[in-house]
Amino acid sequence: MIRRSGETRPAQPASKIAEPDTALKSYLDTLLSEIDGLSVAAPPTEVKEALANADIKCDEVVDARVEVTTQATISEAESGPQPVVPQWADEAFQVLLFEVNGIKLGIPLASLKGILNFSGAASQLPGQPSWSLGVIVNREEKVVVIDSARLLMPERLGIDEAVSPQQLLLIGDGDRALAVDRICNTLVVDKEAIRWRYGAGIRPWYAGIIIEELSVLLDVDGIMKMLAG
Amino acid sequence: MTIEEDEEAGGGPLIQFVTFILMDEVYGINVMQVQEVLRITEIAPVPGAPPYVLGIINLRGNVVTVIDTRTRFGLPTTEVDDASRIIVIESEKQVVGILVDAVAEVVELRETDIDVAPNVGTEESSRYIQGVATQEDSLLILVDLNKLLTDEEWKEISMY
Repeated sequence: MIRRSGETRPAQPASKIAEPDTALKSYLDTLLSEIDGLSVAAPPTEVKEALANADIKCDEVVDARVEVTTQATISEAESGPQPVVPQWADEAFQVLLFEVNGIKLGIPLASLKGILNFSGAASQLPGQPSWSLGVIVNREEKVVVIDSARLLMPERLGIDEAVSPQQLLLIGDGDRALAVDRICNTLVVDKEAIRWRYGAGIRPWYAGIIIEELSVLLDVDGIMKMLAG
Repeated sequence: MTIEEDEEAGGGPLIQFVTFILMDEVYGINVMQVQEVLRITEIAPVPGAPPYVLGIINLRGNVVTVIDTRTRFGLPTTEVDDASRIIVIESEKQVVGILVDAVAEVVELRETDIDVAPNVGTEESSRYIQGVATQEDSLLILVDLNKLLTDEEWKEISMY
């Protein structure tokens, strides 16, 4: 038999559990009721208007240091894998945000060797891996162009085909370039603003999540190891 | 009659379940595992995520992975609407959100009200069904959230 919490139960002797029942019902009703007051409420109108009118430039540096706590999951509370915080994150650092296949990603500015515009033209070499878009020459140096979508998110291929890479982010010694659809802006963050990955993981390119942006922060060293492997 | 006698006579203590809707079917999860029920907020997709992961949300500074329950249950996906909710749950493994079509109500069951689920699905899809209870002429499908994902899958989504 199923009883809804609001239904009258069969007659029961008065007991001491009457008050806790009432309290629990009240709690459950709250869970199921409208939740307009929660933190997911839409931003105030003036904030929306200010954002709509803002002229955000790609090179603009936004100080987005935030005080946040990382997610305390059950597994974290146990003696499982610990967050992998790179040494360079001990001090506040800049992150460049960009988009690939509709997903916003971030890369530490310190890992960048440069940014190039990309026309889409690159020399195709026989036997190149699937993630390679070809080779371009930049300042007399050969640069392998990486199809970031295919390398990082093959499961999303075909979702946003209308967009093609417009820029290249030079990484490593400048001999590799991540092809990206659009460069957004830069942020200054500190390590508390990132939910760092736990353990080695199965994605070497994943450093963590920029919590305020809900964007993945890339581990460039991990990417280079992936490409070398 | 003491409380213990009352429980024994009635088939054990009452257990409360939050019920939710997926494709017109009613599912239930133990209320003790429910932390919050949220309206749909920005769900940011994450690269490399398995198909049943919709993305992540920022819940007061915490990153919470949201599971597409329809995909997980092998049901066709649909657009979210005003009734859609994210139920934030705490399993044995971690805190995650599950996207459902709507949240319905809270029902109370005794252990004796819960029957074994009829064996009609694949082992894969039925392993997270804890049992079923008869609700008037329809079934309430009780979900064992701890088995919603395999150990490997829990580990994988804990990355986000």
